[in-house]
Amino acid sequence: MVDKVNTNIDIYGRPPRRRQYVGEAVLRLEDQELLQGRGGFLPDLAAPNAAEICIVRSTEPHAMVRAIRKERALASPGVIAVLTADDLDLVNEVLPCVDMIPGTLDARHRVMARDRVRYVGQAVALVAAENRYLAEDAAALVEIDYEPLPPVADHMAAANPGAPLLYPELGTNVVYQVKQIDGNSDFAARETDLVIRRRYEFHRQTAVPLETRGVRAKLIDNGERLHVESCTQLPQVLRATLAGAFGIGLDRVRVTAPRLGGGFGCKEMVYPEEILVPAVARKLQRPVRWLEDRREHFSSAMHAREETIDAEAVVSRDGEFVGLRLTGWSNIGAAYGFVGNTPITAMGAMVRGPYRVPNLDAQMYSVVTNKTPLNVLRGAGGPQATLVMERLLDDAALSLGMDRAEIRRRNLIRAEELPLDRGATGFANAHHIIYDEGDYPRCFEAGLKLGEYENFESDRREAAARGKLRGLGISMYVEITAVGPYETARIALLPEGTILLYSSIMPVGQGSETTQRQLVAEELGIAMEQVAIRQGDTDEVPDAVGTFASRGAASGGAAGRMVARELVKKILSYFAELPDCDPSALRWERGGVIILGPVEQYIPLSEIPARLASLRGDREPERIEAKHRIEIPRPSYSYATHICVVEIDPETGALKIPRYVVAHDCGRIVNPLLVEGQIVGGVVQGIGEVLRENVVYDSEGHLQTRALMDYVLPGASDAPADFRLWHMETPTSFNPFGMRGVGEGGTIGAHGAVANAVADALRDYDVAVNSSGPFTPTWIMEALSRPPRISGPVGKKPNRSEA
Amino acid sequence: MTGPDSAREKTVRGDSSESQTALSVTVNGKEVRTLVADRLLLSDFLREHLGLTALKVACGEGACGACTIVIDGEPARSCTLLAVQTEGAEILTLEGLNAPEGLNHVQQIFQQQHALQCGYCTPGWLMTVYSMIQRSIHPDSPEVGQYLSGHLCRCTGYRNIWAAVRQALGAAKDEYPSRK
Amino acid sequence: MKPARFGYVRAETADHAVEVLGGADAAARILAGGQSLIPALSARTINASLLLDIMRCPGLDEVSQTPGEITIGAACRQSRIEKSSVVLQAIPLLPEALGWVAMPQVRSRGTVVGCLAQANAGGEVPVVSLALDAELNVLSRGGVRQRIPAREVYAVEAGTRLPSRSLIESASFRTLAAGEGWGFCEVQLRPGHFALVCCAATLELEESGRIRSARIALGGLTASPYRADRAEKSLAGENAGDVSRVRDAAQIASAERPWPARTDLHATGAFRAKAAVTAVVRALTEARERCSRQTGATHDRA
Repeated sequence: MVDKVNTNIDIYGRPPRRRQYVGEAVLRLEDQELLQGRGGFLPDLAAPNAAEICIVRSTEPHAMVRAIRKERALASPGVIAVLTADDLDLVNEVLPCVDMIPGTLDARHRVMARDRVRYVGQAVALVAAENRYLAEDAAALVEIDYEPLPPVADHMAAANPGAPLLYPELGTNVVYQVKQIDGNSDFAARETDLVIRRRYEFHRQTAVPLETRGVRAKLIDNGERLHVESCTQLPQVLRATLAGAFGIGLDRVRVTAPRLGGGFGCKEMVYPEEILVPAVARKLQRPVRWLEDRREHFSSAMHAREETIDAEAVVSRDGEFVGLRLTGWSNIGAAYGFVGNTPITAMGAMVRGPYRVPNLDAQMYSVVTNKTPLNVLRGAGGPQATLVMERLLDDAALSLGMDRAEIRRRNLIRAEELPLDRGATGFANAHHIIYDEGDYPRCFEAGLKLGEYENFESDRREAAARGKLRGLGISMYVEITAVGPYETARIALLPEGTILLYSSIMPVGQGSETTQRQLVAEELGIAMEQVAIRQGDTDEVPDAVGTFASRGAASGGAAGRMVARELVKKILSYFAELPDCDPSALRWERGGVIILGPVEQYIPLSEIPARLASLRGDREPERIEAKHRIEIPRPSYSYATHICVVEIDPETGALKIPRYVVAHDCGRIVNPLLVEGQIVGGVVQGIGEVLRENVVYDSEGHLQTRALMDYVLPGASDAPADFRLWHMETPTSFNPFGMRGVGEGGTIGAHGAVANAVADALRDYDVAVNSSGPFTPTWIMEALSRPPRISGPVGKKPNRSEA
Repeated sequence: MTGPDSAREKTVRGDSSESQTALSVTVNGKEVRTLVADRLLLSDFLREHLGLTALKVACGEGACGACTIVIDGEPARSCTLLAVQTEGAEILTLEGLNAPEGLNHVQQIFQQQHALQCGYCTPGWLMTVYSMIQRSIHPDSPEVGQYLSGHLCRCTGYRNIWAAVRQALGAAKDEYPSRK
Repeated sequence: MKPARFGYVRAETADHAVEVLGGADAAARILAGGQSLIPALSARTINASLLLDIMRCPGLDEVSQTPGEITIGAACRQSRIEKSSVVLQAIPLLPEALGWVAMPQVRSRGTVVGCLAQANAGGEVPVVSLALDAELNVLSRGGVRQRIPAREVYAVEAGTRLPSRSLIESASFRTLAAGEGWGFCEVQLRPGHFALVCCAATLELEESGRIRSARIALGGLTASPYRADRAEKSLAGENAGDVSRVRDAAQIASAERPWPARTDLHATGAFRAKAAVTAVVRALTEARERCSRQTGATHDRA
């Protein structure tokens, strides 16, 4: 059972007083609405008079569009309009990608296909009707003449010269490349070194938030402004894109994002629908709504993770990794996602994790193919990077006859070596990786101990006696979190004496409403109940970076704390301006203003507006506002050790996980209840991804997985029976409040831990585990049908390579 | 939040080819008599016509459980039923289980156990837990896993949900739903 | 994912349903629980011109028993049958198998006979119907009633062989004999997902512990379920506790499949062929244990 820390259940109805909130397992106030079913998600918002939109999507993976006939659709009952790209009056049809480092070719996504479709699911036309039933009826009647082109679905095939080109004008399907080096990139193996060469395959996955996407749009302010509501993690980015798409000023666009039913990175995107739907509202001059259904979600929401990595590791006889040489190809689908090149960039940037590996030479490519575009998904390339390093470590240990824990000890960066410059990254806004403070060896040993690594062989024997195969896998990672380049916040002390925080962080399930309020309440020294929060409105927070990359608490929260300090400064300055007030006698303590003097005066926050008004002779108390932008020049880095024990039933190929351990460091923990929830949730998501989840296409680019019974998510029975968590908190000097992010780490470690555990369970069989699986029963049974491995370390002569 | 809103009933606009059937059904204790399109899904009837938006349509194929309600005392999917199929039935949604103020007993347990994150799947779980309590299912019974297999959650990893459900099943039946 | 238009009629009687069906076009369908039909209509992978709701037809919600046979009406919901003491007494194999059908929130609405009619690959109820020599009571136009053995209904590579425009009014299952043991084993990716393979088996033993008769039905390995006749014959007279004999029979059961083993998104045919062996072994082992418990005798290995 996960141990609960300091659970505080009594937060209702207490009189405000100074509280310590950072580190407390405060229950979430937003749970009240959610548990009553009043979450206010986009599909729940009343939409009187809104036309419903159904999008007509390509059924061809690669084709010219010769004709679109609308007549039959237009004649269908309840239809208001049938529109194609030509009808939408867009000034700019290109969707943004922030990964376009110099030299990147322009394979940006467009709002709607015109003469060419490049993936099954691409929007080609749309129907607006009185309701979704009628819209779907009409959509089925839109006739499209496709002239199929040769498709290319496999990225390695697409990267070959002579492959069909998605963008003939680019002359290639290899549209992005980045080189990442550290130390001596020309490192070579010495005679005595072990050289390991492997090719790793990573299968395609997708986020599957429970809430599908949705967009609403209407004209407001007498038709002068456009109000768009969307399930987005990036309201400000969407706003800017909309303004550019229609050629109107930013001030004429308002984007609001309601609470999201999960994001996981697939809503960290500017989607075609987010421009299409507002275009229809402008055209029809009436409110419109589009609610994505699950079937279309599988082909039109962003996919993730598909890549191939060739790795060459040079390891000394002592088990020290001298260097890593990587080449990688990401299958990014038909066009860039908002951060579509980030996962492959993360491979080169983060593959070495907490291990020293002084020399690195990585060359990464993005390749377009006739599949749904790719974007980040929880971990953003980290799961793949971790799996590569961790599999190499286990393979090296096997070859050298060395204990798996020992080889890692020899490579872990020591605490005294940190901070450590890891070289250039190739990320557009994080050019250099510099690891911050931490103690990787301590975290590692804690994980081993909690995971009972030393006793595992007896565990394995006991299972074998029952006819089951047990294996233990280790993985350890370092994760980029709390990225910049900046974040903003606004805050107001309202006339009635309460605080209103305008946060740049969206609620996607991570509990940001509670975390942000905890931080502000602690900063001000007041009770959380005195702090309200608003999120997701560009009218209220026009400039923000957004919710992704495990940055909500650490980056957004830092902005929240800093803006609270600004507010305090402002309040004190107002008191200082009063006649007969000595500015040096003013303090902020105990959640209010202290005026030192013969008789100390204390004015609690709730009374400040009224008191100021009376002291100034104002008729009414006023609102006091502050805003702040915090520059974040460097991300901070979380790290963790994962230990996974698997048990395989060789008669059915069934795999279960009897034990899972996470020992982690995410810096100063704001709310341990939420941190544990993120870790467990991330681990189970990662487990699902490598055990069963698989986006399947046929060789021609036709999507096969179109429903939740096709793409099998983890269920309640998949939660590891024995889940142990251990926290350490090393504050980071890279964040003003010592915080690091935690949202993605569970998934980042899980892929490598499970893969290593599977390899360990099957160590007596001649099977290579060089992929993310998925390790389905079919995969396992095929592995078990392979011949037995010749026992003992695969005997190594000096400098013998393993291909 | 939204309430029943006749302006939201947009299924039929004088279109004679859309066949309809009279429907009489009890929802959260109140009788509803209306005329609905034959193909109208129960989930859409409850959400769009009656404004009961606690249940969520997250898959439309009956796989995820987010649309779960209680019909004639048993948990059921609303997205795999037509409204017209429920003629004469008694339907209970989460709105019918909510306490007049604050959280009911089971909801409090879910909050304390941090058994929800984004909250989108949560109403479905609560309907199943209600049914399990009505049937006095023992927290150690293998039926618990069966009932929980009817719901998907992408956020929590399920451990806290297991804990909350088991705790809820340990409570006596007449403590739920609380109307204090 | 909203269904296309169709008409909806609440049939007043079974005869009325068949009457309307007969007069309608080929896209008219019977609607019972709808748990397979409605999602397929929502996804528009199938279409319907008319849905005939039979859930209120008198008599279709009955469970009736005669010596040697129990009959379950077309309107009987899975959850009710799963908990029915009459059914648990007479054919406990069926409630056990029902516990593997989808999940409780689907079984509250789906019907037992609906599973037989849908004949989804890996469907648990069709497999049980073969193990229990079920016969479907089919009503066709003009009041024609016939009993069609499940074996005939499923003797096609996929789907069912039933008279067109007919209604299955009920299904009659052979009740277990005194001392007849039964077992059910399903291999699936996880609870709530389909059967990859499943097996329903029964055993009748002599006093000596030798097998008088075995019935083995396999589902999921092929799209339609089948009885493993050759495996059953190979067990006649054998010692039920002979593990290697049982395993041999299971191999035969998997190999004698009338159609190619099924490959889909979730498993290959090769996997299913292997997993079927395990399913048969486990079902037979359970069946043997239940024989022992009922007679109180122990049946030792030879």
